[in-house]
Amino acid sequence: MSLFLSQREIRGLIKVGDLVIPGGYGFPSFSETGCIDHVDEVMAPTPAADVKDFKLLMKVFSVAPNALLKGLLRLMDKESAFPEPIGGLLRLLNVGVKGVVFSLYYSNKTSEFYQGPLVHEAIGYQVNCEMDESNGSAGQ
Amino acid sequence: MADIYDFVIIGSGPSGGVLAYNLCKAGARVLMLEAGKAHSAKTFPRNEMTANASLMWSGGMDTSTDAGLLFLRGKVLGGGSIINQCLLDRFDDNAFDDWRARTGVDFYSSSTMSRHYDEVESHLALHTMEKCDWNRNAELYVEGFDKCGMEWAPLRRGQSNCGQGNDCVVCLGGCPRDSKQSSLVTFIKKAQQHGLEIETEFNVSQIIHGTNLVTVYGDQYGAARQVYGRRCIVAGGALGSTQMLLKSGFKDKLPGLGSNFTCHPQFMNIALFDEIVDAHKGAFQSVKSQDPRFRQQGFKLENVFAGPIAVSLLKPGFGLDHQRFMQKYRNMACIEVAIRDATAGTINIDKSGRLKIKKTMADADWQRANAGIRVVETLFNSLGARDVMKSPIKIGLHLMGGCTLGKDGRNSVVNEHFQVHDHPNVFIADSSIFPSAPGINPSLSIMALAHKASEHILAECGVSSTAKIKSKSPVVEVQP
Repeated sequence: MSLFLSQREIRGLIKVGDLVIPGGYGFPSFSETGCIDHVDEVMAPTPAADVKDFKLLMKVFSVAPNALLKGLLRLMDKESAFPEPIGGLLRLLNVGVKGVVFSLYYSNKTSEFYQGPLVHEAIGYQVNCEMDESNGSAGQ
Repeated sequence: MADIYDFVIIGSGPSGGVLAYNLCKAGARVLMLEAGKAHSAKTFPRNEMTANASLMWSGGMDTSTDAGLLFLRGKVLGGGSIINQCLLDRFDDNAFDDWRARTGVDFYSSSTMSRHYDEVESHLALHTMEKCDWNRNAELYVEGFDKCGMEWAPLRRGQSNCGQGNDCVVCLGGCPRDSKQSSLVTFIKKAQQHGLEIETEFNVSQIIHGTNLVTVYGDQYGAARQVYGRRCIVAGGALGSTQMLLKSGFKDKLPGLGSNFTCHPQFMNIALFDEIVDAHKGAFQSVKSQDPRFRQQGFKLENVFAGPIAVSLLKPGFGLDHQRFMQKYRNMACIEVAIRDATAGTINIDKSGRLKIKKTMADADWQRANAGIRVVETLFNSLGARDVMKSPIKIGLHLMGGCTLGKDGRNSVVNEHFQVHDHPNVFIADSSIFPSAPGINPSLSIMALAHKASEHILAECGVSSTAKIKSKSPVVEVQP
């Protein structure tokens, strides 16, 4: 359930998410993890105008063929080859789309029912910061 | 009659903290406003995504209008000092000489500022990183510098006790040990002991300058609010302070408002090694470049790293190629190039009051960046790196300018007493007053300048900063 994105917009995000992270090399795919369940956490601090643009983009992504989306993702990486303002638009898309996909996926958050390998385990990311007993502050 | 404070301080970062402490200590009644939430060591988010979303403006996704730079700025009690690393260096003569030349303001000198640096440093735990603090990423950094005959130096960090075996990449989302010397655990805490009042989640929409009073309008928890101060000190950082003044219509009298915006563009360069580096373990920042040739060329290098979300955004491409790269997270070493910004940008707002930041990397900036990146490639190649990746993403850290300090109201915003030109009851004392990018981490200097500003502000009110006043509030006399 999302307070920000409709079912159709979520479909668009999952579609582009699975192109960016299809799964492999020990990683689950974007959709397998169910990290999409946490999309509202990413959307909450986003300015309203940007949320509106993102919703429209996801609507388009939900009906666009995969080949077109892959082409767009490739273009985003070649932004410097384009003159402004096209280059700037591609950079904005890159930050907006990949920013949301990577934030969700590499947060290590999953759906409540997910039982596969965790993303942080797959990359070997394990951090630890213990509380300082002397001043009573808490670690994780 | 509405409650009237002697001072309303907007912003709670390095500047706001120092100001609040000095003004409260002098006996003034002070209210601090912060747009973000209050967190503590016990409540800072432990997840990278949650930290980005809950501690930064726009979740850490503020960009320039052409998306060429990504700006990170704190939205939390403690401001930028919560999310930034705690590298606390004084500015050198090179930086101050440039500022003095640009503004004609005499107090921009190492000798004049040293008293203010001494004063703020006396409230901070400072630690010069030792060899025993190094992780493998730092060891590789030093090994590369030594092999290539380049000068390095240990970093000086504001930290009290990071403990043994703790991974400090965590403290990018707020320090869970109260070790990092953020304004939250240093000056704000002390100011509260002297009576500082704080309102969090208060979004300022307008500042109205009056003859006797400054009214600050905003909203808090969905309701309209207004507070009153005899004086108002704006300390919301380069973007925040400039945005508040623009929204309040100050541009009409101050044409220089919003100009001269600079930052230190940063490029994280990742190298893949066959061995496990674990750059995210232990103290992830401990050494820096100290090569005078680098300073001359306008860049510096630091050993640094980041969590998986940030690292994933640095790698171009998608699909299996990207996942193969992320699978090597533990094998990554990282050296960051930070350049001394040569090209100023502008800060504006649109009709809805939203920021429009025009900031491009010009030829001079690219020359500095590419010079630094070439050095990093040389360093990593000397160490036998399998691959070196240059990031397509440029991060704008240390945001400065927009409300430059100067003598002339036609091209600056505040005068030598940190007072907004023609608005005697409004002051600014944060990085927005910087006239150019110094090429050195600015936190300590922001605090030192805030200390100097607090003396001017108290003097303007007829109060000495060295002796606590005995009278009750108001400290600031209201003119009949």
